[in-house]
Amino acid sequence: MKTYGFYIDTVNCSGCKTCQVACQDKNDLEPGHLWRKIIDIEGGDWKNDNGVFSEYPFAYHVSLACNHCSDPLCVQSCPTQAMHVTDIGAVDIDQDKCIGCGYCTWACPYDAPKLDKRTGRMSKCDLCYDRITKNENPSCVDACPMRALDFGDIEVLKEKYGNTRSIFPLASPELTKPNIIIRPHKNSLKASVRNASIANREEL
Amino acid sequence: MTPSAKYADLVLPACTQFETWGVTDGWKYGEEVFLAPKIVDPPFETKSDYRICVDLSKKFGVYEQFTEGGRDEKDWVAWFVDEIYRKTRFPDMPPFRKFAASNAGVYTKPVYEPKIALEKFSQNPLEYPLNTPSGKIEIFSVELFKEGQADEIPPVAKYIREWDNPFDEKAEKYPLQAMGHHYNPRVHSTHDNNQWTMNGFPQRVFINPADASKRGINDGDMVRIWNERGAMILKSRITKRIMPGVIDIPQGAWYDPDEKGIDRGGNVNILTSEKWTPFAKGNAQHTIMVDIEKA
Repeated sequence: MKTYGFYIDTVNCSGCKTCQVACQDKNDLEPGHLWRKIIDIEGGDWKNDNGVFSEYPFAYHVSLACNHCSDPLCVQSCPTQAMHVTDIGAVDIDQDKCIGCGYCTWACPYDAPKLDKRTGRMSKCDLCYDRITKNENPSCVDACPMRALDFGDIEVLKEKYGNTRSIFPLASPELTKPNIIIRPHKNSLKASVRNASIANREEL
Repeated sequence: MTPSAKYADLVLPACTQFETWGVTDGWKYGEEVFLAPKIVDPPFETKSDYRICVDLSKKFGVYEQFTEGGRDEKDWVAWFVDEIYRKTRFPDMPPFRKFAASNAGVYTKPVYEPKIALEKFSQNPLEYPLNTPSGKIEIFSVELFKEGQADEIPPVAKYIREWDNPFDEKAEKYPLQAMGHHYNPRVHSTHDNNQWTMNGFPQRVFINPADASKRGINDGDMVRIWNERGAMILKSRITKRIMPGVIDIPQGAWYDPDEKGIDRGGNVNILTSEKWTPFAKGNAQHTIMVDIEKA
């Protein structure tokens, strides 16, 4: 059985959020209801050397939806078994069983499931099921003007892009075995030592 | 309603660019022509701005002259492609009728081999002079010198102090430089009312942590930004991505004054001088000094 995943190129991502808006457009999500979101990271600092500033800060962006993990904590924590793994390896929500309690969001280290205020039930990325069954890419992937996203069989992506599964500030991949491959930005290596933090919590 | 519409005495229902014909190219030196065909009819009583002007021209009795013989929007686009583009910058472009029928949307000048800037000039400057008065690369521009304003339009490239700058007396009162960069979710003021894009990039004033901590400002605080021209109250975003001593209020936000006349929309123009930039006669939206405090 194939397992699908996303490739996220944080070197080429410009943080424009076209993927986020394409996802909202395709899935008719209200403003602020994000199945895909972009985390802005910034770090480093300015040095004032006698009125001359040097030592430029750095920034990079991580585009993130549901990672359709192989060991999904959201599925384990769901009290009604609404959260489940489908036959294509995707993590999905049975809307008839979901009671909107939000335990899945608490358990998910990526904060992927979101409450749909219109239905009172949880909602999340479904890999654009209707598109991928027609052999099309999910909307976010095709919308990216930097071609920084890719989608497909995780084994194929692994062969193409390597096997980096995490980047600052994402959780250790051991926790849930996320099906994402990341091309790490060079400054992500400095993130932990250079005082990096999430710069756009307000928008997440 | 847009701020401009609020000030208007008369508001006419113009349609969007999807409901009329249009054509554009990638700026003055671009290599592309974009066709913008009419996709749907204008809804309700809306009309293209050209059609509104045509109707006015009938009332003024200048219909024939204004439309140059009764051209509609599509006729003008066809005329522009065939008589202007094809006869000047894009001689190999297909004629309008063929271009529109192909549904290609974009014509791009083909590139057959790598291009080198000033290639012919560098090989033979006498035979291929540049389009300058001397035909050479001009380090000192006689044309700019003749403008007679060497202080503001120097004939050699050099640093000149802005009218509002951090180095004179005024800076004691307004110590922070303000700029208004082009922001991701908008095209100038277009899309400021688009909640999907604005939710991803809300209108904020970007402040360096050093300047914010001096003033006791925390991330997300409402702050007042003012100078002798105007004042606004806006939510803050503390970020190291802006240089110490500089704040950034993205341009294009819609003016939204409260009852005291303080702008709540974050429109950088209320802080900008009305003085034109010396050469381009543009809006000097990066030449602003301000101070900022917790609101």
